[in-house]
Amino acid sequence: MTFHPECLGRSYSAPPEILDRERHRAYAAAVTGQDPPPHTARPLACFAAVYLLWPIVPQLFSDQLVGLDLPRLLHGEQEFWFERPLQFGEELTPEGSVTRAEERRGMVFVELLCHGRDGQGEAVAHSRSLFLVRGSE
Amino acid sequence: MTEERRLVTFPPTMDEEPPKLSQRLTQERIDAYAQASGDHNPIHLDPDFARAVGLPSTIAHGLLTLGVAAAEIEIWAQGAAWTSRVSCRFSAPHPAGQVVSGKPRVIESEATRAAIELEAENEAGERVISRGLVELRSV
Repeated sequence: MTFHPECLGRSYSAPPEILDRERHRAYAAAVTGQDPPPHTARPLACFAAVYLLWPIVPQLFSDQLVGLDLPRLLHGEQEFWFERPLQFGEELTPEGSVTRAEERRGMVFVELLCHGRDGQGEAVAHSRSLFLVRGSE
Repeated sequence: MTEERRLVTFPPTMDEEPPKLSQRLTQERIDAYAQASGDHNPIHLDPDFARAVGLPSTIAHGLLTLGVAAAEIEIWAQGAAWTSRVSCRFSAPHPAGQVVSGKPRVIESEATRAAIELEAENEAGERVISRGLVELRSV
């Protein structure tokens, strides 16, 4: 697949979803290794991936105008940050855009910045992912 | 959880010790994470596919490794703080079945904000999480 650096600025969106306590229970069991998992009053921070990243990332990965070679793709960096604590039962609407797209010395670098908007339309959760695609040599 | 301790008051002192990380990321756990997160990339789930792309075995999702390490700190701190930021670089793959280990430490402590450095390595001693940070804010 051919990478297209001009994909910078490509954007994606997905429908709103409710931060679901049951879904979190399954997530927390996997990351804590305990079932049932320890009680948490709020969602664990990296659970944001379920609502911010995974509705958006498949769109990026399948976007022919980006052209990522998935078998050679690596997740290089990840950051989540929040304007306030998220609560179970609240709505989050994800959106994402390509904020870096370049090829250097045979490596492709693509940065995806995602935001989650609450029911009032405020961007309350954010994610920055750096994906790398190894060269074929 | 590796240890059952809690942060009682905020901020933590600079010499306070968050729980050490030592958890085995079995294939069963990786499968459970894939199911819970929706990340079904076959390099995490299918040994034949993983070998075909040059990996020795399936590997844990980076976000599972980060989630495991961050959750230990978040659960330790949850009575006194909420998590405002988690970040890291995924430096090396973490093969399925291996123990991920690390020793987080407090690197900043202010009245309403604290930062915990988070690094983790696999059984080969390779750093799988570097430049890791968990930022806590008082509740």
